[in-house]
Amino acid sequence: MNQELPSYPPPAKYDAISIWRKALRSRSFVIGAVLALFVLIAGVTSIFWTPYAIDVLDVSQRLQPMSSQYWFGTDQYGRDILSMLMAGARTSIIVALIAVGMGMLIGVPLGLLAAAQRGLLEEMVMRTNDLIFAFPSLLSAVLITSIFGPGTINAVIAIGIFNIPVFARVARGGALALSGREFLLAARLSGKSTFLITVEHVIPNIANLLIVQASIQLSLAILAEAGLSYLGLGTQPPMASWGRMLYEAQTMVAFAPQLALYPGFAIIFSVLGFNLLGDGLRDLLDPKMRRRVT
Amino acid sequence: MSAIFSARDLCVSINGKQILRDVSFDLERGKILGLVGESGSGKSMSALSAMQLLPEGAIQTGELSFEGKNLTCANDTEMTHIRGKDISMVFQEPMTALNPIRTVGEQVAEGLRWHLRISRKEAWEQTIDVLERVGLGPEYGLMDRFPHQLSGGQRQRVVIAIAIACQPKVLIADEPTTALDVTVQAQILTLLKDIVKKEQMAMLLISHDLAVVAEMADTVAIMKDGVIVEDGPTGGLFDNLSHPYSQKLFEASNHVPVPRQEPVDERAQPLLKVSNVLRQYPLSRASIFTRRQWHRAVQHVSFSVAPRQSLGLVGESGCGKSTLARTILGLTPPDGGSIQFLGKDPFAVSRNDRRDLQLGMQAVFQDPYGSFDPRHTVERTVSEPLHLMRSDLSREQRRKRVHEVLESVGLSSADANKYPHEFSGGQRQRIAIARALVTNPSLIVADEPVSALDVSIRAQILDLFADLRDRLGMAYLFISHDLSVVQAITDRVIVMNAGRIVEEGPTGEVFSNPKHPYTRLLVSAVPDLNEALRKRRKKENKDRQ
Repeated sequence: MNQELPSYPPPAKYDAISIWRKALRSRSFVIGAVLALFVLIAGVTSIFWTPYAIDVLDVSQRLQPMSSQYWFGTDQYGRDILSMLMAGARTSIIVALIAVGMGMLIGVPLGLLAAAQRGLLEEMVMRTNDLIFAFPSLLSAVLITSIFGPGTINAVIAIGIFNIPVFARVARGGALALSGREFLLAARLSGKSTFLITVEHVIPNIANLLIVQASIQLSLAILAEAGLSYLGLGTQPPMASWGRMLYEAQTMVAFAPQLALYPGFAIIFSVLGFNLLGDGLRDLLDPKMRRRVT
Repeated sequence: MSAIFSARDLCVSINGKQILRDVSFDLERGKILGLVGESGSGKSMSALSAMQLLPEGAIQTGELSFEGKNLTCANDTEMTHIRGKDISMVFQEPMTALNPIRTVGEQVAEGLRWHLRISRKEAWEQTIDVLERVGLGPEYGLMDRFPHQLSGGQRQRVVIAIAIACQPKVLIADEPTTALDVTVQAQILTLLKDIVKKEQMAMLLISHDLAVVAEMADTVAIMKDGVIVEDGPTGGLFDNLSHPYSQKLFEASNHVPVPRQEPVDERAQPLLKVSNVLRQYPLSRASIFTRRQWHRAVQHVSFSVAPRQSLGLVGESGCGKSTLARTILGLTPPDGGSIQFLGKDPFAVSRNDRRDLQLGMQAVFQDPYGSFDPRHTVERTVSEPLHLMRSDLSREQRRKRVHEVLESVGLSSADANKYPHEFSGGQRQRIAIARALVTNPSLIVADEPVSALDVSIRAQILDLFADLRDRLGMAYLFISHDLSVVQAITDRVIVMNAGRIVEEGPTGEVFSNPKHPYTRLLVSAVPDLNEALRKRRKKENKDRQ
């Protein structure tokens, strides 16, 4: 119709400097990024170096208080808690990254396929998604790990499966929202195949949504890994894991509560960090929410 | 007669950017002031400023007086009482101005109860009365209906009813008919005019359309970049436009591109032949036991386009024009009938042949913002259709071709590396045309290509279409709801209504001597600037005597 279109959002600027400036002004982005980066650095450092070895038990040094020698003290087996936390960060991040990556790699193509093909295929993909969604994810992860045996790899797979429908939905929703846009019609008139249009036009335009979702899923995956390890179904000793540390601290809570508090805070900070990072990214990247930033 | 509402030296700036500068106007009882300007000229901001509804961060100076009261000093509570009761507003988009989950009756009654402090029953009775004033008498039974059950015109009438319910002294209408079809627009304009006269309201009518304003307004103010460049009584003002911008606007509104030089050979083998095309959509079923109903968006449509011919397709929203365009472009197959382009049916040939056919037919769409991938440069966007060429062009050749077409639509080759957001609406539409031209097609399907553009830009783009037609010998299928646009650029015209063709013929003939009643209605509903001015002058002369 004969409408002037003044109500359009201002043209999106994809210039790196202005986004960066905005990012530094967004409180949740900055706090989230700092926390996430902190966990990441701790985890990466632990690959090369930890203050003490985490697989050596030294009962003579057990339950040491905080000191310059042991910054966070030692646990009931004499292991250095700082070293355990660092190694736990590594486990959390590796599990979370692989599980979320798996969800993305399988979920996004499925969602895009559903959006591109519509019809029966779409129904099948989306209804299977609903089916997976319908199960409480942690409960099913428990089921999977108890059938296939506890261990880090099975925990990754169990968490990954529950990330597939999340990404499939986001990808499909984003693609459908774009589908009426005239530049996609123009691309079809240019003789491009659906596959090429998806790769060249759709994916870059929904990348924002996927990045935001990924950072939120990372925090959920860290939480899930901790949960599984706490139940003894995830990471096995001698590998360190925050959930495992919580479990081991359980019997000592009465006289050494700090053993439970340290891994607890580690989980809180990392989950909070990735969540805030996701929120901050959404404010920065999602044009619909952009107004909130300024 | 003294003004009931007046603005003096109104200045508004938002975040340091000056939006309005020294805007002054007076509204008198029973008179309409037309405020005209292109997008971004500050006309809506003037209205918001008058209502004291400026967005956050806006700084306002100047004086607004209503019945001797200074509104700039009024606090929020006082303004709430004035807004809606003494000064009220009609917005552009009737669907978003109404609350979708409340009935029409409730929404009209709400304002009455709040402002007049009357009982529910009294409000209900008055609501019936108000709806009758806007031409929605009890025979329509609208009180208990929801907005989505109404037609666009009825919705706008309801919005007007809400605005005039408390018998305001000032009515501000911001593009009240821009979102409506032309036949509905004519009805709503007549309604507004009658209400103003009958109830002696003062009205501020904001519009981008000079013809609408000339028809409606007693006095006109022309705005550009936040400044009123010229104002005065309608007839007199248009007779002696002194400001260069108003002259330009007036010329653009009357603009007709240079007519075609060489005649079209209509007996030649048609370029595009559409025979008996049917396109239907399934409606949702009431239950699984009832038969599925189909909505026939396009039915029994047949026509052909000769080489170099430019064919117009006019009709109101929902008449099936865009559906037909998409079918012709090969984006959706027809459910019946056939389409032949260059003698071949694009849906019956092999994929490679289809590509070749596609090379010869490209499209320009309406929305200059939505037709580009915001992440691709102009060069990448424009070169996109070159995919259709099976003979691979080298990078250099592609670039050369892109630069060529950019220059032929009046842009420079340096623009190739920019992104779409760096361009204005008119420039973007040039880019869209460049993309359509890049494969050297013989037919361009243009779906409302100038509808989203300001009038001066529209004139330039129409000139570009005419120029390309003469220079490159292309045929156009020009789809629009705007008769003046189609009249300016086409040789033949097809009029569509409810999915069918109701009239077809040479453009001049159809518009000067319409045969079908629907065409007659359509033609008579279009506001005609010159006709309106003639009447206006006659009236002003009579008043003077």
